[in-house]
Amino acid sequence: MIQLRNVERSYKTGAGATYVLRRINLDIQAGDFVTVMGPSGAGKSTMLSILGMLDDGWAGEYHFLDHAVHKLDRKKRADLNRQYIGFVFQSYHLLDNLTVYENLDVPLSYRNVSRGQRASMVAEVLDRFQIVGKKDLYPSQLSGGQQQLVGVARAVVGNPKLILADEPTGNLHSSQAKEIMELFKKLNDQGTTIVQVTHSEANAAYGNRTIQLFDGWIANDPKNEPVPNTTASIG
Amino acid sequence: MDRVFQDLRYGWRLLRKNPGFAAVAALTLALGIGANTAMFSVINVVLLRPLPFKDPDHLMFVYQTMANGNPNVFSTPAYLEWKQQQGPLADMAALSPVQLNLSGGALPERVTGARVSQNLFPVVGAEPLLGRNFAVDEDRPGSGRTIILSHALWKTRFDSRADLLGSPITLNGAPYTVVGVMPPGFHVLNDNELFWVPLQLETVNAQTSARNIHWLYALARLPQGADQAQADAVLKAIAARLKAQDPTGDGGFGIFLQSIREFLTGNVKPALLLLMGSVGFVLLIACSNVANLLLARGTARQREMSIRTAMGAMRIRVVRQLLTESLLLALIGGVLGLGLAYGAIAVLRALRPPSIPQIASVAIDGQVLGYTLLLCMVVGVVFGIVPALEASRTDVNEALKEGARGASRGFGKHRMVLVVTETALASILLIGAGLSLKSLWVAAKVDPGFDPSGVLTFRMAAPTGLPVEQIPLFYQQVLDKVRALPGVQSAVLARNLPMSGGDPSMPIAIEGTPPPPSQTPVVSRFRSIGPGYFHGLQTAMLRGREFDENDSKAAPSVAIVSQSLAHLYWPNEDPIGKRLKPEMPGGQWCTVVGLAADVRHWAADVDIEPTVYYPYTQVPDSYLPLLEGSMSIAVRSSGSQAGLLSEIRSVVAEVNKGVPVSDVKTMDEMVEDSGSLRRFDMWLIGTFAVLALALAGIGIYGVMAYSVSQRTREIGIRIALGAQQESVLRLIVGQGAKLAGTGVVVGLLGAFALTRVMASLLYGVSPTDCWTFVIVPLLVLFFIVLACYVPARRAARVDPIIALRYE
Repeated sequence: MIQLRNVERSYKTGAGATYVLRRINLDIQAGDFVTVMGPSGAGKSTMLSILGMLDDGWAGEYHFLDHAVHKLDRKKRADLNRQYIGFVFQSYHLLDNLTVYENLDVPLSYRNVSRGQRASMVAEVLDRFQIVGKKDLYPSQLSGGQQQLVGVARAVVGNPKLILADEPTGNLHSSQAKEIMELFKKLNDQGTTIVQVTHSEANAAYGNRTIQLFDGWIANDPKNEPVPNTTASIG
Repeated sequence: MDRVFQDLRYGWRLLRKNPGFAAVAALTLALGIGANTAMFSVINVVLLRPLPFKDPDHLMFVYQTMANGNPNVFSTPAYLEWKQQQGPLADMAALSPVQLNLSGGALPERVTGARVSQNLFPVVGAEPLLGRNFAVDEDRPGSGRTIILSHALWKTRFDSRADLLGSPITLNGAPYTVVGVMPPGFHVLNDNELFWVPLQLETVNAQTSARNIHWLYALARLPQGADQAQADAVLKAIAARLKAQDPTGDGGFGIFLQSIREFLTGNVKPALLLLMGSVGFVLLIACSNVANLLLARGTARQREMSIRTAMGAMRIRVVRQLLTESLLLALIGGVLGLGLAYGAIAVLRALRPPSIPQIASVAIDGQVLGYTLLLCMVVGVVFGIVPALEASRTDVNEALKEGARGASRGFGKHRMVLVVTETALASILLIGAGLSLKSLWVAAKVDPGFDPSGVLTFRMAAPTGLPVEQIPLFYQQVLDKVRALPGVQSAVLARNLPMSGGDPSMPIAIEGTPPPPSQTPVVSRFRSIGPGYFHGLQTAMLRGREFDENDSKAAPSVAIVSQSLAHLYWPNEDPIGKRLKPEMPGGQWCTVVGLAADVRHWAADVDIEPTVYYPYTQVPDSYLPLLEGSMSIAVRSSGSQAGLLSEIRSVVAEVNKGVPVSDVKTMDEMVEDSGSLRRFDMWLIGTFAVLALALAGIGIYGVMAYSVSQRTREIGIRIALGAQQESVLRLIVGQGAKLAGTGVVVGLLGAFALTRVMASLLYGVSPTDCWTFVIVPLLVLFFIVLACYVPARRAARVDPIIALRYE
């Protein structure tokens, strides 16, 4: 599903360029549940943004399904994002001024889905996540766990093939975290590919593969040989 | 469409959740949109409403050019001469204003109308709503009396009676048969016209045959396809031919054409357009303020925009959503603005500035509503586009990171530009207002040459049919009775009082001076007055004496000249005893018996003209019908003028019940009215300028307050490092002052270029008046610095402990 070849991401600084990701080679198959781990500043979230096509400033090759993403312009990348990808954030990032129902409706409204179809898709997700009774509440009226539940529901409402989750349980206590991870597992079992970034070994255990990032390099990937020299200088 | 409603719904919800922001933004816009709507509603009626004529662009007022090159209305001989020429004026129509006493009601009423040639209505392309136009025969002298009524007179005085057609009504004691009623709103010379009677030009009396008596307005329609320049060229050629035929004739001076639109609205157009420009500035300032608010809000909404983008929103979709919100805000501002405009129009209509025609018809109609809606759309985009583009240019990656601060990126630059822009616009408007104010002040300081306080004026006409020789007696009786009223100090008579509007002129011959070439006759203003006139108006008699009761028709002809006339024709000589003669049929040599101070006849800001005063009892018979037309009486009293008026009406009725007292005004009102356009302009520009300054001040306050809130941490650190309160104050006020200073400099440059368009509206003040260009910018700077001081004080009181815990 995903192939990254020599993907690099750097930011210009006064002294030159600071690399956040270096020569990333990564293959993710449809149905994988991949966990990306690593210390702060290792490049985990940046990798997620590149996979989600929210970041354009990278170099290298990125193949997503049958699309050579590196050859696509921003608009076509955004089209791919809308069509195939759902996001879950650590801080939920629900829109405060929209109700639960409207938050779920937002991604569909950006996908040219007709009003009637949107209503039935949102209703189906509300039902599936058992939050029908909360559909008219605003995010501020929900607990953290409930908000993240809505966040996940929002990510899946468009039936994405890939869910990218950036520390999805980072702001939740353990019982709520377990509930959300069970949900991811269930989605993965139903065929959705999931890439999560986490610091939690427990969460990583829900996945079938864990990649370690360190200083922008892939330090460990069970499916690939480790990069020989992980202490190579950056810059 | 569904998405638009979705965006609107969301926008509405956001506004309800932020009532403070919504109220400030909507009210700011309401002020701008309201002022624009009110101003447009005036312009819509005065300048844009279709004229009640067919193809008005081809309809021209025609004037004969005088020896001095100035246009003037036609004398009868000149009108007939030009009408005989083949060319654009062959089908020229003529009209002349007239006032008649309409009886039949409880009291006789003085009504204004016009004598018109039979072809006037066909030339202007108007037809009666009821009945018919005058027949050709009815326009011949002695062919009876017919009348066409205005819709307003027919409705108010005759209850819209359809059977009035063919019936007689009584004017000046004589029956006139009503043959038609014109459509509503039809008028030619001004909106006071209530009726039209046939001109019957050949019914010559002495005044109409005189070459020096100019009394006929003329209208002509240019042929289809011809424009004014072509017509001018043809008329020039005809004038050249006439000059060759008769080098001393009037025809050789040529013709001046003026479009009817220019005639009706030309004098107020520059003032109204200037005011429209002013409210445009106010609106731009309001837009800048709201754009600033939105930019600040955009910073706070970066996270929302990033989430939307992460959810798949294209940038254009985000921009569209934000613009929809702006439009919604503009529409709310528009609705509130309509309310403000409604109030402003009510005030304008109540004030009834006499210089603005048709002010009573100004209202919020469909066109005004359409304009306001369009304005809201434009305004919504103008103030919304930059914040929308900025807010949509979000770095999703950064903004969604845990703990991201949502810092403004580049917003500061836009905000600064907006602040500089609004300060510049406010400065320009204030300089404009300053010039207007100074102009008004200079005009107010001008001595008009008479004392208007405590003087009540009115017009009245001698009864119709009164033998010419008895007219002076009639007026004398009225004056005697008025003078006998309690509190009355003086009562004087004149054909044209100062600042009453009428200002006839007459060529004169000066004894002992060779007659000037025919092309340059000595022209003076012509005043016919009664005894005690100068004492009554408290105009200084510099030498000689006033007219008195002994200056009768049988007595030797006398005249009083103004100081400027004496200075012009007898410099360094005593004018008393000199002789002059009005060049009118029957004009006699008059001995100058007095020298009077100059009087501003039109308005304080209109130049003084050399003037000759004649006793009304001695004007030639050829001019007497004008006295029958009407005379003005000015009564100076010490008591209440309202009470005095009813007493005057009683004493006039004692002399003759059929004579109406009309055009009642205090002389103070006449002076006020004479400067009405300038005052109207000054008050409105002044109001708009103050509004602009207040909005700019609020805008800068908002920016500085926001800047302080964003810099709380930095200020906390500075204070923790030892910064004194004064230095923080200086830092913040200095930042605001720099922006204001830049804005004021830009404003000065703009004002230097733009105030030139005001030149024609100014009096006694240069468009680049030094004092105005110094004092106003200082005032703006002071005000803006004051607006910065409040947030600066807040910044200076920042507690470093709290500030550093802030993030």
